[in-house]
Amino acid sequence: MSRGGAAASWDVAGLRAAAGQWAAAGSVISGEGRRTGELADLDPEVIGGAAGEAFADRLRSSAGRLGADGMLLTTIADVLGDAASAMAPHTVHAGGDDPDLRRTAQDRLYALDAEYASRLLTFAPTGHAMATAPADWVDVGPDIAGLAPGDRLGSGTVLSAGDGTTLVANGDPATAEQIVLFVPGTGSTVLEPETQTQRAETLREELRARGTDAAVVTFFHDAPPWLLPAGGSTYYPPAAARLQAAAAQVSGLNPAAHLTVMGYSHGGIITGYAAAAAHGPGLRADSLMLLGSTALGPGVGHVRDLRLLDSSGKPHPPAGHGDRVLAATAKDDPIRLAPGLTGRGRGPHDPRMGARQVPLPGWEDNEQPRSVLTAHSSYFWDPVSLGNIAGAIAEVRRR
Amino acid sequence: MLQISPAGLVFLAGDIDARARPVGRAMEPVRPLTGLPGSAMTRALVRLAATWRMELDIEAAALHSLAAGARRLADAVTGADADLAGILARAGIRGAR
Repeated sequence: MSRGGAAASWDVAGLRAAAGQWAAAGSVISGEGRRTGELADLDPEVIGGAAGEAFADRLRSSAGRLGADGMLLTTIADVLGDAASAMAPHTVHAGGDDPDLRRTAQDRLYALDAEYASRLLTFAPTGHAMATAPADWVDVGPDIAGLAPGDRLGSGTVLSAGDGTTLVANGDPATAEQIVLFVPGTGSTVLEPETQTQRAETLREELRARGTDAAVVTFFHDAPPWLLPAGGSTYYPPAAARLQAAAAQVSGLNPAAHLTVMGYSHGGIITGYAAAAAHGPGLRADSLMLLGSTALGPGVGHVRDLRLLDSSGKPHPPAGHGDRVLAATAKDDPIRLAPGLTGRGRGPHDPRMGARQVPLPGWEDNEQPRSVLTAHSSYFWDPVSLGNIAGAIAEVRRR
Repeated sequence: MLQISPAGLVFLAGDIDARARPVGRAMEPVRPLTGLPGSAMTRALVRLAATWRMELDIEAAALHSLAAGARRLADAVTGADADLAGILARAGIRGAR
């Protein structure tokens, strides 16, 4: 940090004002958390006995998170107050005439500034926001205040936001004949919606060109920020549970529509894990499209190991999964190595998996060999790949 | 057979929405510290404010979603939402009008 001209800027009154603002926010959140908790204890008849149990649990869960958030906000206010108290004595000399005293005071103020900044950063929220914030944070995050259904986000429209998941629609899922629920991969975040929603829009246009009125809904979730955590098992199990809920939610908007869940890269293992019969109730999906996908997760060695549910909740016959589960993996996509490296089962490109393979070009079809990253993202920009993928998605509905 | 009061659910939904509004707005008065230009604390507070604003937006959205759920339950027991009414009926729950 440059120290030039900062001597007159140590504003303890500003720190105290900031402390007051954070304390007020903490007080509001604590109070609303308490009141939300009280709602959960209403007469069971009001919120419906058995039907209301889950409802009351969700209210209590929100109340608990708000209570914890309120305490953290109050703590931030306390730290700011402490910083103001610690700095105040030094500001007297920092702007004084004695050069030695001024230098000593300035050094002390900068040391306190660094110390309290470090302490402040330990009080980030522990809930949803950190799950979707970029790993390295940004100095000023995008303002998503008031994110609500109907808001524009990237090239799409917010369907819902909350509980760690944001669904953004390109097209109208309520009227579409086919809905593609797009599960993006590593590094995807609702804070940077443009790339994924543009991919969704491009796919929708390709489907429309093939006579299919489709909506593509992007499932923003807590995706691993980069490659190394993507290779572990921290991210995909919780994301799979949220994907199950999201698929059911999207299907509920239009039960007559054919629902294709499309997992890309790390989104493939989320999709596989959500659909694995060994891990739970299955996934609401009439078909799957696995693009440049890693393995489908433990317990899935063949597409028959998946439990795909129709709109009434009945499982589609596993015998038909060979036509229902589509895999598109470029020949030069290094993701083909991922199953062997991560030990998470077979990739969908493995013939033993039994998925229907979508033909795609590889580097030998191009004039120049493609870089590994270029190959891995080719599904969305290479016109031949995109056309084949869209054609396969449109065709699986008509079968 | 369990009974649900639609009127109670509508009141509940209103109460939940009333909880969500201040949650979503709690961070609005919090502005980056301007008295310490370029300081580490200023940068830290800008980061904290942005992330906390997002966190509370998400919490507020979750509460609004719960309120919408309560209204849908109310619609179900009054017959306005036939799909959900069928589910409730199969679960042995009916509306108390």
